[in-house]
Amino acid sequence: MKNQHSKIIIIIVILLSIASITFSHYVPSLTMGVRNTFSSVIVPIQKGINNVGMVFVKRAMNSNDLKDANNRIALLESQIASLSEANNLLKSKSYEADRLRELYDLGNQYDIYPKTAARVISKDTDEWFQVFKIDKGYKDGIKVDMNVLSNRGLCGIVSSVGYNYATVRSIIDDESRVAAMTQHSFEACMVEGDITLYKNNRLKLTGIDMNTAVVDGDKIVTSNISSKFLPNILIGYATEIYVNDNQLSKSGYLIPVTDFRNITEVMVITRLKSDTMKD
Amino acid sequence: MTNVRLGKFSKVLLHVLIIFLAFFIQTSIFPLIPLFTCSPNLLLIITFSYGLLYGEDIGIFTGIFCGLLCDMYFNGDFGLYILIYSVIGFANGMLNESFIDNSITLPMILSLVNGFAYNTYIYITHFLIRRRFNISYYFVSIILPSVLFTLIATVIIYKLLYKLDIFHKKTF
Repeated sequence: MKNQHSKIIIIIVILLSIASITFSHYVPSLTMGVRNTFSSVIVPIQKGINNVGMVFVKRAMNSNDLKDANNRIALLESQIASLSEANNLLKSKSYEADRLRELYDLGNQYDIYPKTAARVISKDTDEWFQVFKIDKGYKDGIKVDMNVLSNRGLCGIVSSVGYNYATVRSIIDDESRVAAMTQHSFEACMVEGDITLYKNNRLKLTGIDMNTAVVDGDKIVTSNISSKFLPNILIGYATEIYVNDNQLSKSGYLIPVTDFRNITEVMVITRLKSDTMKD
Repeated sequence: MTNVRLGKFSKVLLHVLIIFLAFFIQTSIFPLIPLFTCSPNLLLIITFSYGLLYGEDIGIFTGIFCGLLCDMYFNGDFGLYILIYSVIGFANGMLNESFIDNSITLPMILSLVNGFAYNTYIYITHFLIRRRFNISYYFVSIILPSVLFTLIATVIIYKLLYKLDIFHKKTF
């Protein structure tokens, strides 16, 4: 008898959840309210847990890090010297470019975008998804489709926003697609996330025109034709370019500049691509 | 009478607290640990353990609660997690009556079976549906590590839940 009664319950639960899945699949806005309210309550707690957790993690890592850091300082100092020299050279070139641009009356598309820093507070628990939440939401001016950067380059895009949190889909997620181009020759291509690749620190690079000269080591940046990504944000470097079987296009892989294994802080560009197009 | 009621009430409260704790550990603490390339699914362990310890009904409700937390917190179609967690709670609850021995062997076997079932479900609903057919890769590099991590965690967590249960029975 008791058995019978739980069978009925489970059947009802299954039917209800299938109905809910179907509804929310076709009308996603239905569940947005529930999710926003829930996450708004959860996020401050997570933030607290995170702060406490970070203290312990940092303490454990500190002693190891010190040795590493000392070694790195020496290396970096030598790099600074050579980079500042290169920077000087580039600056003078950039002034020249500015002058020429003024002559041609072109807008400066290499603006430094306004950014806001945010902390990663939670990640999707399954290895299946590469999605994380940050501690800034629409009260901080974050909007859907804003670009998210790590300290080195493109990291992801805001996929949904709540009051005090936002969900970011990183570019290594299986559903991520970014319109990109090579930095020096503006050849269009597509950067696709793929979970079968990201553990080897790779993304897929597709849709390269057959007649273009994209070679291994080319810098890949976001394209100016992308509808969501602002132009000229560094994504990574092209590698292992090959000609597709159909002999019509090339594909390859991309080594991202962002280290996705331990992202703790990110920068969100608080300007949307759609806004820049309005200007 | 009041004592029985108090016992029931405190049990429900305890369960809810444990589930919340597991949820926070899973979403906020595990990702902080750089050594964890993948993490054990604590909510899954709790769901099937409660099914096993207390029967179908509690299994289903624990499943619904864990599933609801995931559905509300993660993106995707609402209800996908409720479905799998409640079914797992129910299925493991059916073994409750035949389960007399308090050894860890059966929970460990169940952890493997449930882990595979859960991950296969996620694969089908999120990847197969988008025509990702590279099953062998997904199996070796995502499903297997996740299942093994969950198995190791089961040994600890199941024993903890079991002891809490005995402690609770003694107190009330």
